[in-house]
Amino acid sequence: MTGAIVQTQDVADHARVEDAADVVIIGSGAAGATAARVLTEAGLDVILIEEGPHVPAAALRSDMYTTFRRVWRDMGFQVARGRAITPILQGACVGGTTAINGAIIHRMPESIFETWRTDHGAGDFLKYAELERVYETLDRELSVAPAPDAVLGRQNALMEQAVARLGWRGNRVRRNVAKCEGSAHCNQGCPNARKQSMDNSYVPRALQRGARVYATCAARELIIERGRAAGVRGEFRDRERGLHGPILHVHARRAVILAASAIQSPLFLQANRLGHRELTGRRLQAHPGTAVAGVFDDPVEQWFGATQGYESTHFWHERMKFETVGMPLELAAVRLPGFGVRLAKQLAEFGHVAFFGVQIRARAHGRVRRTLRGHKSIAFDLTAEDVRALKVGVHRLCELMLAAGAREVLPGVHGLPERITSIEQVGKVHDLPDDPRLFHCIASHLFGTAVMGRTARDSVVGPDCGLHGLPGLYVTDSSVFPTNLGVNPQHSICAVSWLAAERIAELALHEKSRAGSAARAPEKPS
Amino acid sequence: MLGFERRWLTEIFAATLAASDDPRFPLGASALGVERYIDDLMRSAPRGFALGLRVCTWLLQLAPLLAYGRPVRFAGLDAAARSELLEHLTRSDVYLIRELPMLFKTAACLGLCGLPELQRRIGIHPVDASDPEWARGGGRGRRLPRAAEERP
Repeated sequence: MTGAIVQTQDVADHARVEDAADVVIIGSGAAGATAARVLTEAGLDVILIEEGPHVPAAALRSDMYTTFRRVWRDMGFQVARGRAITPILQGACVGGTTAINGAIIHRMPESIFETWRTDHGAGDFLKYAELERVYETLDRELSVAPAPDAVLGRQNALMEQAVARLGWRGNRVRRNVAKCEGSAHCNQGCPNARKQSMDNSYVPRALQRGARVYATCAARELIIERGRAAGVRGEFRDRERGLHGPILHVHARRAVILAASAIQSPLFLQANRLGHRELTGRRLQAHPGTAVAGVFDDPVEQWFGATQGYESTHFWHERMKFETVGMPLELAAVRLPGFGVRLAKQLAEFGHVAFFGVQIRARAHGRVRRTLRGHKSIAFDLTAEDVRALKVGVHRLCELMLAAGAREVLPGVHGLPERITSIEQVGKVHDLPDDPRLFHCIASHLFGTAVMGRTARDSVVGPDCGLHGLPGLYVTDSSVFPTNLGVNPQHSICAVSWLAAERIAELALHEKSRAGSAARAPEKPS
Repeated sequence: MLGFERRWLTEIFAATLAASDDPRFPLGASALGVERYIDDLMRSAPRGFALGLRVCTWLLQLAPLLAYGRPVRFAGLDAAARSELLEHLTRSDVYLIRELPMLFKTAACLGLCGLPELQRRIGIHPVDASDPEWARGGGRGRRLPRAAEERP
């Protein structure tokens, strides 16, 4: 049995769409699609509900405006407010953020897992050996391998050389891409369908086993019957086409999985007055990052090669990780200095520009909140320690750029010279105040807004990812992560969701067989 | 967005992204169908962003008075002075003031720098085979001239 993807235009003339499955999953990104893969292969019937559209590879474009409009959340304008305004990057399409991320794959560092186990009770459910088992399978199924020479590209090669010159530890990024063609379009959605994002891997796999995907459909309400999660009510709406569609009503026979991201999942819980009142939406953690540009005499031509193909974890214990950043012209233009003719001349040189970035394992805790008018509000403000880490990070990025042979480096920090040619010039960064407004940061990799723990007093979900106090509802995305990871989280989101889904499948199949045997049992004589 | 606000925003985008004498970037915003882009952006962007852009458009009109003490609107400056004013604001020690021109830069470059013809001239390849939807067909604004059409 093959499933289908149903979008607003397919049902625009319907008054209502109804369906039922063993498990209903909200969200089709790393967590949702992985859960669908596990559950369908266990023989369960699955429905996925995705707010964004399904955009096949052939319909993707490389221009960022169209990409933002179609597949990025809030058209790329989602921001967190604090002292500084920080863009929060997320995908909003089938495949979620996996469709538009840089395809960087990491396993959860063991030291992070150890804090989860000892401080947050995650060891009741997660065993590192179990995670390792799932990571192995994910590696195989998602074609994870280091960026090969053929598609390394000059930008990644420059960082590789610089890391070697400085004696840092670095490596080719392990990426979930099968036979990468080096289009450098990971952030626009892979035009060649090589990136094994969820829309190219686990969603089609679940479809082959009969799953249905309701895309351009926002989940609005959790249906609760007899004290347990029993379904979801949604609303079809295609923002790009301006189409309003019918109401979706899906019945979940065994479970509902909330896997809509660390922003959307707490908002759904809040809208439905579910979850720990104080903790839901709190403890938002992230990996804020910034990038510096380097101008080289020789061409860099970052439009060819792995979007992000080289990284250094040399200073990971100082809470920072360095990586190349493939930047499309539209975004690079914002980051490069100048206006008018001066900007135009800088853009004319774009072929000679490289970007290296640093991401910080921030200590800051933010908050996701649904306002009284039902809107989303995200607050996130870096701590003084985080800002100091950013300063050190920018200093090291400049050092790295110069070691790579940059003619000049554009640090993009208020209070520093616009262009530097020697590392001494950037030393001033440490004299600047600990103020996040001096930097241009973005935040990706979001965690902790429906945190996992042992008891209903200090967490939103239990160690099995089940919501405290409501049987049948599970949260399996990174909102359950007790801390940030310091590395790109896609693989760990997949792995945690995988393990939770295995357990849900086991329970569901057990319930099913009990219900089946009860149905088959001969009636007792009255 | 009212007609005069749209005209103001067009002028701001033109001052943000101007034509240069470098053959790799000879086209500024005014040659790139900026009016069509603004219409599409204001239609498609989240309400909060669109509203913020309108408010900032008004604020920028007053910027020459606040920055230089000159009783003239942004629209009353010549092209070079407009770009210089935007640069001047980015050097402000007040965060919200230096973010003001960055908002315009983000909005202008996001769409206009994605045009295939502009990217092709810089050397980027491959580029989209067709213009983005906002740049196609009717509406106001000129069609982007292709490199071949400009050759003698």
